[in-house]
Amino acid sequence: MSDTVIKVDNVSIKFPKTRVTLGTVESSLMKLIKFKPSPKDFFVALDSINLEVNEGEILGIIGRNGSGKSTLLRAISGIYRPDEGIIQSKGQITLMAGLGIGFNVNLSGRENVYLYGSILGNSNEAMNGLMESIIDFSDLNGFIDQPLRTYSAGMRARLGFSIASAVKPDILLIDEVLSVGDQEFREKSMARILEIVKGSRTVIIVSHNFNIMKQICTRLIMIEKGEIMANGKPEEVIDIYFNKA
Amino acid sequence: MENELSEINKNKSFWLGPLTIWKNIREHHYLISNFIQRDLRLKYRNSLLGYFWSLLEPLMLSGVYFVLFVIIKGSPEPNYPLWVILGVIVWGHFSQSLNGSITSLTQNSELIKQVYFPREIFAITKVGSNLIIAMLGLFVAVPFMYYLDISPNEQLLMVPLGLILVSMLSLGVGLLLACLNTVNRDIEHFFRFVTRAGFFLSPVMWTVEMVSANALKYILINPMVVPITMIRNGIDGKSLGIESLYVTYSILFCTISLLLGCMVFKYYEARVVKKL
Repeated sequence: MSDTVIKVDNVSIKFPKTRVTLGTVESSLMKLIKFKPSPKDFFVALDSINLEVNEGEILGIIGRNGSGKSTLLRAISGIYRPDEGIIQSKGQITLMAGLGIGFNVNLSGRENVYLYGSILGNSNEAMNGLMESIIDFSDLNGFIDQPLRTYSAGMRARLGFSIASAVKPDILLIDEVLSVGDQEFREKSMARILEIVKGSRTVIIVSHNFNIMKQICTRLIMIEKGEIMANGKPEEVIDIYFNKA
Repeated sequence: MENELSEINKNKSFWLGPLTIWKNIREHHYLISNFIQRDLRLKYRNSLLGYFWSLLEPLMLSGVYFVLFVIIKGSPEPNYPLWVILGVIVWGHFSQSLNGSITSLTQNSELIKQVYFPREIFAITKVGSNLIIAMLGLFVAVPFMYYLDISPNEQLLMVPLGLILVSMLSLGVGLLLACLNTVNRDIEHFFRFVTRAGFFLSPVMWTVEMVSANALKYILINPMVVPITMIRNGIDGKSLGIESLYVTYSILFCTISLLLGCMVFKYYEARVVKKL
């Protein structure tokens, strides 16, 4: 019997539809204080989601654009607080999304490793220990002390993936980052994901690449309009996805 | 894994804000120091004089104000140039820290939406890096003290106290308004004006000794008067010369605004992230 490491309990998340850019100071003050506008001002991104993830599971999430996949991952990683329900977890969680968002283009690759590492919650000492493997894995040997602005977009993404996957959290959330870099690096990052998987750590992946999802996921869920429409074996859920289309 | 499931992003009581922020600072000190290092490295990169700009900038600015003073009021006291420089450095720290923390959420929205860490860290690093720049800048006083034959005495202890008060006030007010600024950007425009106007209403180009006793009562409502005078007189080796009632008021003002800022920020943080 494996342990539950993530428990999403009846979680709903709504986003305000309109930005109060033209509102008066007074009206926005009132909104901030009361915060009870009418329901039609909201876009419901997640609607009463219930989900449990066990240790060692590789859970894939599929669904159309705007169905709430990324919002769910962000809620689990703590970026968005649920409007209703609670999310519980056990262990360190890292979200791999928008790789290299915290990078600074004027700092060197090495400096960015420390910076991004600490953004992901790791001390400089911990990053020192990982530095060699990060440089090796990203294949940036000759470039690591160059400022990041000299890197190509692919090189930045490679560095981002290498750092995020090197820090080895207990729970890794991956949002559409499996297709970074060239063919060779993609295969390498797939191998790294499989390695993480074998280390019996927990992974949740959002991707549109069904081939990869079939290969690596132990379970799939399908989200549509903020609700879980299917939950089960990868092949079956993918079938449901195409039958509905 | 021995420990139980714990709730993510728990809704905490309003009053716990300062405590939560204190805990987060200790937990994320690597991130804070890396962010401050980044800010300092980037500020003077690709410049020949590098950190010397921390000294040159207030020096040149003060030169302009000195000329302006001479034009308006005639020849000033010999120590006047030192007073202006100190005022400029302290005011620079205050206005940069305040405006930086007010815009800390809106400026970093991309990062906030991709990675979770406590968002007060953005404001804290802004204030922290400006504090370091101000402290480096204060060394410009050394040649002046030598030239004006000022020997440092026990009054120098007022300098760190003044710097702490300025940092507390800018962080407090900044955190207080950062959330509101994500809803309504008028805040940041208005406070850019406030810091510009405050420059003239605070003792940057003038000192409290130049003000008549009658006007001083009203001038001292501005909580920045005491800290600036502390730093200025501390380096000049003079006592503060402000009634203790007003000193207490200023210290309380800075402390309460910091505590209130922490509470308000932590209370509204999770809601306003969705508005970014």
